[in-house]
Amino acid sequence: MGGARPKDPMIPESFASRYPNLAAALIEMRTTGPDASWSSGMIDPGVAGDLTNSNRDGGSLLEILRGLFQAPIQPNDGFMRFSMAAHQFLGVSNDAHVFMGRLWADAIPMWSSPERAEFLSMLVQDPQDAFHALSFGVEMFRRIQFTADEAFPWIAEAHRIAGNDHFQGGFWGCIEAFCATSTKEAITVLERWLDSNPKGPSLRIIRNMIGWLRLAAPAQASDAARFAAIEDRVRSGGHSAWRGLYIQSWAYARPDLVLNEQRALDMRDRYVHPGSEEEIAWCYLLNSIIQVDKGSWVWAQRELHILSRPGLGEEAKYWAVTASLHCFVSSVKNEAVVAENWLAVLRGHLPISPGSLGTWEQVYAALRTLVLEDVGMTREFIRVLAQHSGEAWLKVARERQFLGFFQLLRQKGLHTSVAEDLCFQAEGAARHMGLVVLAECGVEAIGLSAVTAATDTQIELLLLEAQRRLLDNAALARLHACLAVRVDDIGGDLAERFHAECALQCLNTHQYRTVLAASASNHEYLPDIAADAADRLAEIAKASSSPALQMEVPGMARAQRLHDRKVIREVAKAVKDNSVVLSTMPTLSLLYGGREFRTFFGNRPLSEPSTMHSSSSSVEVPRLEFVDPEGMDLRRRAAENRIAKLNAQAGVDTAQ
Amino acid sequence: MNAESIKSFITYYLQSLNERTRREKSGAKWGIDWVAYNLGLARFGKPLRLPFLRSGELGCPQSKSEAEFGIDISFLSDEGDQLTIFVLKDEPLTNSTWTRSDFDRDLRMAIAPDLNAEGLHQVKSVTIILAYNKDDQQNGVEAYSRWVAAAPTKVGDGVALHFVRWNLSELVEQTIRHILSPSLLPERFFGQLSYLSAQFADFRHGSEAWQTQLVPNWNRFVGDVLQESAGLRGAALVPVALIILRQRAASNPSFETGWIELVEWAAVALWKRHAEHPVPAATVGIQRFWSDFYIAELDRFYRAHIDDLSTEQSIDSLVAVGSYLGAVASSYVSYWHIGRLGLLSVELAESSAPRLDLGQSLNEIANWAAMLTNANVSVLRPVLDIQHIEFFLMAAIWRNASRLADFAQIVEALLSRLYPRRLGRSSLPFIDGGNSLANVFEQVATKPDPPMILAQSSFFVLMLLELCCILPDESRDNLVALIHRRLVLGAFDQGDPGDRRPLDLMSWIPPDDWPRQVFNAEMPGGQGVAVGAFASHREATSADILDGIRKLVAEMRNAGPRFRQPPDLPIAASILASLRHGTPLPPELWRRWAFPESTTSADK
Repeated sequence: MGGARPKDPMIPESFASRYPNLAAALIEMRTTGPDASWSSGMIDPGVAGDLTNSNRDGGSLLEILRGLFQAPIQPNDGFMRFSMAAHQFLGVSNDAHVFMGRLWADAIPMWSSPERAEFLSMLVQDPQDAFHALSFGVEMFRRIQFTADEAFPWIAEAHRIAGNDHFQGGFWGCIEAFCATSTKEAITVLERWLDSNPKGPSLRIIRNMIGWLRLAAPAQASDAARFAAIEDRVRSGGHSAWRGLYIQSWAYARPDLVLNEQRALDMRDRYVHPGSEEEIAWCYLLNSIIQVDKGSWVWAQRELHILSRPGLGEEAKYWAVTASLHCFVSSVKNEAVVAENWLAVLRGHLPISPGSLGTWEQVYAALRTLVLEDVGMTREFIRVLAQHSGEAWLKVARERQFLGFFQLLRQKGLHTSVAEDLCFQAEGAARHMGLVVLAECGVEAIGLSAVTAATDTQIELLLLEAQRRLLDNAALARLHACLAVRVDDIGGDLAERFHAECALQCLNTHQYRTVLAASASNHEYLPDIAADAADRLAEIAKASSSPALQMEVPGMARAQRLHDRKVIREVAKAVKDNSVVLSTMPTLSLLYGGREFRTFFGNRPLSEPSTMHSSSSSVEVPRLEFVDPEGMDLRRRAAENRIAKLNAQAGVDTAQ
Repeated sequence: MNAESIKSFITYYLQSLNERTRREKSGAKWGIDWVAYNLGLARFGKPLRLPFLRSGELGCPQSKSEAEFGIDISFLSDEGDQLTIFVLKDEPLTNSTWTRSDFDRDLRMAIAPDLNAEGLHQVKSVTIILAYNKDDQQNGVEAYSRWVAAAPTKVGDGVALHFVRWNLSELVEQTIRHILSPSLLPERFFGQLSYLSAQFADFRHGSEAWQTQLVPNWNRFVGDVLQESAGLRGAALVPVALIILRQRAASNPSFETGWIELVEWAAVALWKRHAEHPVPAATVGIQRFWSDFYIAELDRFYRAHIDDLSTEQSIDSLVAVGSYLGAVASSYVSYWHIGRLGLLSVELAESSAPRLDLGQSLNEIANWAAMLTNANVSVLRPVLDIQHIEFFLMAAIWRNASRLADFAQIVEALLSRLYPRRLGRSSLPFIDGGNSLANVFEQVATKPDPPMILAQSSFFVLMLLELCCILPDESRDNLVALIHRRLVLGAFDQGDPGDRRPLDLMSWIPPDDWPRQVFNAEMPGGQGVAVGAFASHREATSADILDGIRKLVAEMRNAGPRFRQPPDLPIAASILASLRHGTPLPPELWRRWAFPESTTSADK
């Protein structure tokens, strides 16, 4: 039937008159099937309205299906082809998903068990279509009871397809609905699954199913006993991972079923040990509980504080930080003391590993919210983060993650004060983060009051921090310009080293030289230092043209070619890796022709000529890094040694 | 190169020529007749009579056996009215040679040319040029003048007769003014030198074409010259060829350093010739070439260019193109210059010729080296193990100028820059024991894994340790301990020392006759010596290490031949050969300073 030409589809008049747009769309959907060239076009608002109304009105859609197919409905390619055209003709909306789920649910009762199993299998046959099918399946599972024989193989296969994808909503919706509607069979599925000694990803499904089955509350005593037996198996089966899933299964609770302190602590005392799977599960559960029940915050805060130790695993820390951030951000507006307490808990969980991008995503999300709600607390949070997780934060920032945050800081006018907060911190990483803010946010200058308030040692430490790091040249020039007068006041060896550093940087980049000359135009020495550097560079250029220096170094030309080829390869790879367009679209290499091209694909006509676009960017290479690489390294090492010395001195002073 | 120097070497060359070019069993004899022939072509028109057949066997003119009637060569002007006759002599003009060497007879015969011969009917004036490539004495000149005064003023009825005398000085002037080109050289070498001139004008010094074409061609040319000539003529011709090359390549921006390289290859070839077949007459010429040409040119070169070389970063930023390739390239250039300055110093210091201003001159060279080093940190960036030669020469500069404290500072700075490279914490690799600049470049350009270079074995580092022993005790002790800890063991100064494998130190016992063998491109013989670290832990004291070094030196001295530099071979020449061929220096060059042998033991 799938390959045969369909008979003319018909829609019962009663339906067509009430939902004319939807009826027309269904007929076209049946006639045309999925069109490969479709690209997410706009859906007629009339269709969307009819879908909403039809779902609201309810009623059987079996006659509609019969009219459309003019034949017995079978779980075959034709039926799937029709179903998979839904997004194209009905749109991508919850109403469309529900409507399709209803259609399927009305067809399924006509099929035998093997046919139902076959149909479920077809839903996840095509990895591309599987995500649509899973979206439609949620409503179907809500309406139809499936047996364990029908559902079990399907769950495994569907998870194989969807388990590694970001878009798993459809899959989990199907499982939840299955547990709610086919509770008894779901218990059977769990029993069989546990018999097979499941590991890895399967445990997540089991965890969720246990949670949802607990919510479904098996009605019959025998089912309740079977479910209790399952719970008993997972919590006392000798598997750490099983106990973990048992703990986590409690996260799937209605507010009225959320664990209270006593039961939660009882569970903690029974199962949780440091560094275990159960500990991860415990943090997961705590995060879940505080999101649902604000009444739990007091004891949950205490628990999260207890958990804050250096050896806490990354996954456990993710949930602990997520929980702390949630409470901190939620309370920052109206409950300052509570917020401060949560910030203290959060501080205990720092540092965050730079590789834990999920945790950093939570941190940045909190920061983005905070910036809009409380400037003071934002600065405080940033300070805490830089002080206690500065190195990791720097690494995350260095890999160009979450750059939008710096733009947000600037938009909100917080960039200068944040830079001032961080630049004079005792921790090197915090100072460095201050310099990053200075560069990324384009801070013009650290304010005079902050510079004046800083101690001599703080000024020196900041300069040394800038010396030992690779910093944006313009930002470095602005930093030097705004500190110059203060450094002159300090005088002595520091002033000498400062001027030498300025002179060196003037020789290093044109950008530094020009920005310094502009930013410190009224300074007594810096403009002369910049001018002198320009003269020295001119002399170098002149001397470099000496006949004594015109020899070509043997092998240099070949090495330059090798290097250039390597750079081109790396740039091309980086562009492809970082370009959303290039990473999702196929790359087509045009072999010949000028700057214009046309395309000819399939049955479409030859396209009009398009002009190719090029993009380029340039960056000034700091010349001394290549002219004197060892010297620049030594200079950085000297700064590190001096910082260590100053820190040691500060330690002595503190002790005294 | 200044005019006086050019004149001097042209004089030397012309003086070395015979009267006639001819081939003998012992080789070709190059004559003044070829020079006169080319001068005539340049000034007096077309040749009328030549004493040879051009382009004879093997590119050498073939002598004629016909009677010449006093006329060696004659030229007729393009208008046909001027006849110029050369009477050539390879004898000094003195009263005794005037008759004994037939000046008188040949001139008398020459004043009677047959003007009735075909083509000479329009001649209105005849000029007799007496040209001789030796000096003269007043009485010889007097004899000539008297003879001219008595000679007729006309040939036949109305053809004017004039007399001109070109002594050696005039001949040199005429040569420089009119034929300072490949044509000055014997015909056999004209084509070769013309080709070399074109290449020298085109190829950038150091380029692939330079390396693979020009240098081999030049070495072949010098080899041919030396093979062809017996005695001093080869040593006289080579500088003339170099002068000609220099004139022709002035438009090549890299010709200055390129020319010095060609001079060096010639010097190595000449000393090789001397080392293999010492001929007293030639030795004088080779020594003259060495000191008055090469060493003098080096001195002139650095006087002319030291301001550029000592300009801050002039070498360091030479070829920096946004990669560390420039750092490697500038190292090569720095070492090239520091090596030449070192040769100057060694030559001055070890020359047997007495000099009143020796100390001042050595100090001046040390000043140049200091200026270059202060301006360019690439001096502190050796990339190849074989650059131990230049670094030794740098040590020699400071030692010869009695400025060891300066040298200690250099070693200290070198150490601080080599240390991160030894630890693998630098963008630049450690010194390549494989001595392949191409590999170092490729390593820096592409960073392949596994690395292309051999950084585990080092002759350089052992030399550095031994060189420190020429320093005052305090500097020596500090540096020896540091070098051993940081470079040999590759250990961190504090905390966990790390687990790097110590360097495999290398030394070698050169062959007995190294000073002569070194002039060969591939030096046979010698024995490599693998030396273990002098201590296995970083806390080793300088005393421990020095004890080990002393034992090594003693053992090697017992095992190997005693180092002797023959008096007829400048030590700087042998070191130059090492530089050019990339062969290691004998450790005794610095051990004789650091661990001098007592007279008694040396006599054993």
